[in-house]
Amino acid sequence: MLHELQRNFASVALKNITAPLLPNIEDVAGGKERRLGVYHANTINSLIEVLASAYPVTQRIVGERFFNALAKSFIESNPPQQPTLFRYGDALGDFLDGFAPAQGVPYLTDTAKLEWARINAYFAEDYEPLDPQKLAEIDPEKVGDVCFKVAPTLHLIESAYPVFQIWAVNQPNCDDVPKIDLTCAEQGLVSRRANEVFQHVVTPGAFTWLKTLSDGQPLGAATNDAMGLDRNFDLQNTLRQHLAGGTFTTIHI
Amino acid sequence: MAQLDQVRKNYPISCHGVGLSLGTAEGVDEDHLKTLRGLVDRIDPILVSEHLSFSVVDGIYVNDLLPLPYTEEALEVVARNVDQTQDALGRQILMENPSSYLTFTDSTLSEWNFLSALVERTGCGLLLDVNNIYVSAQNNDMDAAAYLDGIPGDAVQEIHLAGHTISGADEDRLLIDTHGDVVSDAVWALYEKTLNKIGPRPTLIEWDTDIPELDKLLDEAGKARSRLDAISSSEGSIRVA
Repeated sequence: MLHELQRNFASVALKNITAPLLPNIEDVAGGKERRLGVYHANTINSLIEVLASAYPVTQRIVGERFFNALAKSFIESNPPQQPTLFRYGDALGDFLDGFAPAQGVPYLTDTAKLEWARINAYFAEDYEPLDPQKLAEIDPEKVGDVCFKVAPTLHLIESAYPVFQIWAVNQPNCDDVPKIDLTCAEQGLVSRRANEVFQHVVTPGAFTWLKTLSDGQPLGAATNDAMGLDRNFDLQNTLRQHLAGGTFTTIHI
Repeated sequence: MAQLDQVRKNYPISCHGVGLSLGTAEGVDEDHLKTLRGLVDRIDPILVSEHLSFSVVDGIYVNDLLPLPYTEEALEVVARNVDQTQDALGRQILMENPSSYLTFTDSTLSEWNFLSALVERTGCGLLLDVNNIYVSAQNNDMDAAAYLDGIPGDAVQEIHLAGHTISGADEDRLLIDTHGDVVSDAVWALYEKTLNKIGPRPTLIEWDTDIPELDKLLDEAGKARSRLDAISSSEGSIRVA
């Protein structure tokens, strides 16, 4: 009995379907529907807020009214399945891909995915960056066999659109949005040091190098992949940057 | 987590949950309980609390604290879930009274009798939200004074206060618990009554939408503090919950 009533209440909260629950509610001035409407409004508005705070750039690009409508549509087909709401909304990027009203903004999906990567980086577990000394201690003959474990905060982002620029010019303090060449593809990373999430673009060679390394392949193979794509790939410099940037946590052979 | 560890070094922490859904007929989510256990083990909070409500149905999490009918069946469900939680955490939890916008025809117990029975059956404590008592009483023709008389005062270990908004007028008047405004005069009065009845308790001003300047929040905390001080000095000593 309780389970049935709770099912009916969930339909009120998520879909505003009130009829099945009405017999369980005492009559009241102003009507029972109005009372149930408070629960529906609380539920939907709070979930829209959760999505808006996870996707501020997506919201800014399409505007608040459009965002609220797309959020409602998303919530209907993807209600939260866990109580940890900071994890809610991970599927919004893919949802936008199939959301017909947003097809005029082809870069919206990738922008949303970049925003979600930032959320993931923020909430990923804390980590200790690799001490560069550890790498220096490896027998130079064997350096090519070294595999790196990447930071749990690291996300590699690749888009046919300049998503990092799109993100940057849609920050709250950015009033005049400059013209961006939307045909320029971008690759880059999102990560976190201490409490600060950061992101930046990387060269195609460095991106391939990072991707191969994060797949668990050794340094030699990653460098070969990078050189194959970009003959000018600078291993020394790239490695130094990523050791300083905390991209890796441990190494093993 | 590092930030929380830092806070914990300097302050006791009261850990307040909204995700366990202890009124859920289908039982507590063991994964969530395990995660909470990890947190509780790590920060060793002084108090752990949850709500008398449900949010999970068929694995879907409705992001609101939905009300329960106060029936024997619901009491059994909540008592079982609270027992399971207290066993898993290895400690007592507090249960908070919800704000409510309706009354179930199914209910056979008052909210205060339901809470009293829950305390008796599970040994849980109570977190009394005085604003919620006021909001529910106004919306559902419930008697706030009878509520205060009916709950076991010794079980109350923490008090919450918050602002609400009023929608509609006269017969259509409906109070909405928003946590987005100053505490109303009527709620301050009910808070004083509560303190007179049960003695001073650690009190939290909840303000989580339209968050104001810090000064305004400190002002509200100051108002609670002066009422707590008045009660403590009239009792001659501070009762520690």
